[in-house]
Amino acid sequence: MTEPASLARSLLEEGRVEVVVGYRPGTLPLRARPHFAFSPEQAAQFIWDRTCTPDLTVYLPRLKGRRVAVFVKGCDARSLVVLLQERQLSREQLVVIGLECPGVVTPDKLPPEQYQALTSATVEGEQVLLRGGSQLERVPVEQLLADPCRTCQHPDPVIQDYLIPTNCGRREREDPYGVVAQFERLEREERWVRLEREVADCIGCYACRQACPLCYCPDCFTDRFQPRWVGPIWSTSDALFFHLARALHLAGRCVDCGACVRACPLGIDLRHVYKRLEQAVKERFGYVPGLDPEAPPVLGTFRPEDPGDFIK
Amino acid sequence: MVPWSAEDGLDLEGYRNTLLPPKEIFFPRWEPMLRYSGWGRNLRWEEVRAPSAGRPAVLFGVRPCDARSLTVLDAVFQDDHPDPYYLQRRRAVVVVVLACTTPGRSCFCADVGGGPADERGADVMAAELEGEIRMWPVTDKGAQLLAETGWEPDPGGRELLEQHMQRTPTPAHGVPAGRYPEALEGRFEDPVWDRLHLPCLGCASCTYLCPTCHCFDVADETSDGGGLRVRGWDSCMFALYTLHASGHNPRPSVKERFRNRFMHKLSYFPKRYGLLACVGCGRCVEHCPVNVDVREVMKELVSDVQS
Repeated sequence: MTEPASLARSLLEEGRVEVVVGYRPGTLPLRARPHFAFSPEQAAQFIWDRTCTPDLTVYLPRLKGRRVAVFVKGCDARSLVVLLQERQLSREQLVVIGLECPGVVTPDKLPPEQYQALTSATVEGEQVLLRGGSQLERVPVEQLLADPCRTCQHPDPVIQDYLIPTNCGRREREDPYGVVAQFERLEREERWVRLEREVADCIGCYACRQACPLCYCPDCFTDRFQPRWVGPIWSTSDALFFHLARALHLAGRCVDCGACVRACPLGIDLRHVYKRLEQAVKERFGYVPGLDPEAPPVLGTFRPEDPGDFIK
Repeated sequence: MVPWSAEDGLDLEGYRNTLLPPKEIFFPRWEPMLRYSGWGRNLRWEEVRAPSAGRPAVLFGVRPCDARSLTVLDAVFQDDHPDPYYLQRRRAVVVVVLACTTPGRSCFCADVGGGPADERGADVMAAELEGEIRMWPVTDKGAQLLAETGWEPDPGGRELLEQHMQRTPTPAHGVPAGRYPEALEGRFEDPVWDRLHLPCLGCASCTYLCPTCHCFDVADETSDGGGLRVRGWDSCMFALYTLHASGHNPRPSVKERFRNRFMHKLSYFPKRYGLLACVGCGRCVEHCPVNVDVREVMKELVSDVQS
């Protein structure tokens, strides 16, 4: 039995929790999926490897008030901290199983035709074996690593009751704001064109919002009628408004887990916008979200020494 | 699907299927219905149609699952209130179906009553066989297209395709589709839904990518002194879909919405139209952010009956 499975099993056997939320193998190559175990038998399916991409803390507000154990990677632990800071959960209801994270792989890094042709894939150390029918190809994990993992500053969970260590090596961290600098080098007009082009294919399925652990509002602004913010004409300006408004609502909160980008069926990637907001909050307030469950949310609090130079 | 011109050439290498299903050609993401201005006795309105409505077109390369989805959509939009927007486009568009000589890993058309060489929904059938595109007409509309473009009908193509198909793996995963809707009788309150819905995030990627999902909302885009009435895609996975003006929501959580999606596809729709509202294209399997796999859901719903 794997370590995650035996730990989950004992938590359920001892009656410490009602449910354990973790990962089990998915039905597609390189895609582990969420698994909810209510009984010790159901715990046998739990796994932990580099295909375990989903941020499972997204399910926690739905399980409010219940005793839950949850598996969290470094980034997921930070979204959990934000949920605790924002009083969406209580620490007492949770058993947090931390996963020391070497970074996760995403099929989005393969050309769609290549991914679709795969029948299975396995991660072996720093290599990924891709199989498509009788063809076999080895690619380095590095090639399939999700973008946030390339710059991750907190791969070890900042909050946990148990810790499952990794035996994988740690990689050198890239500049977290490289994507921001790249975008900001463009002329103002070009930046706008790029943003419009990025969201032009958006179909408004809200997979990004639903996959985001911090987009938990029961009543999103997109669902309001007076005034109506987006739609019923679904134009590029509606899509852009939705995405930028969502980004602003995540300022000082987003922990760069990458769930929104991976969830999008159209491959829309606005990570540079979210990283710019993260950078602005860090520069102005010296605040990094998701590190301290006791800290008040940065935009929900006021200190006399807060910079006010943006008020002209 | 994108507009094609002769200079583009045709490269089918690695083509499995489009990300978005062809429904958007007939039932766009949004379209105008009427424009109005003024109030009360000064109210003026006129019917408007999108420029794309009724424009003749040929859809090339539609896969058999998606072509069959058009027969599912036809059933809805031709029902007791024939839908002029959809039907106008349907009449003007010729569908050239490309048989799947190498089905994809998530395809399960054969489980749900279709197949990689299924001609239902096709006006013209095409297949890439031995490095050549063979085409033959299925409907009069298709025959007319081939005649007008000077393409020689190729009756031998069908036979050649049948021979090829005997050597090709069948896109089936043992999904017990033949047991619906019976398997769902009296299952509305079944505890199985408590478990199955758990991973679902409640987004609309499955419904928007589904070739048979067809729910829409009608709303006004208002501006000073007037507005445009439009209809656009809606999804039963959204809370807003069933929210009453009173504030009451009969499908208050993901569980009820998830149940409705499957009950509709596998029970309500087949009972009303005699067709499953799933053609086995596998898009929802491939693109669900958390890998909720319709094939497994269908298997579980049936296995629960047996146990």
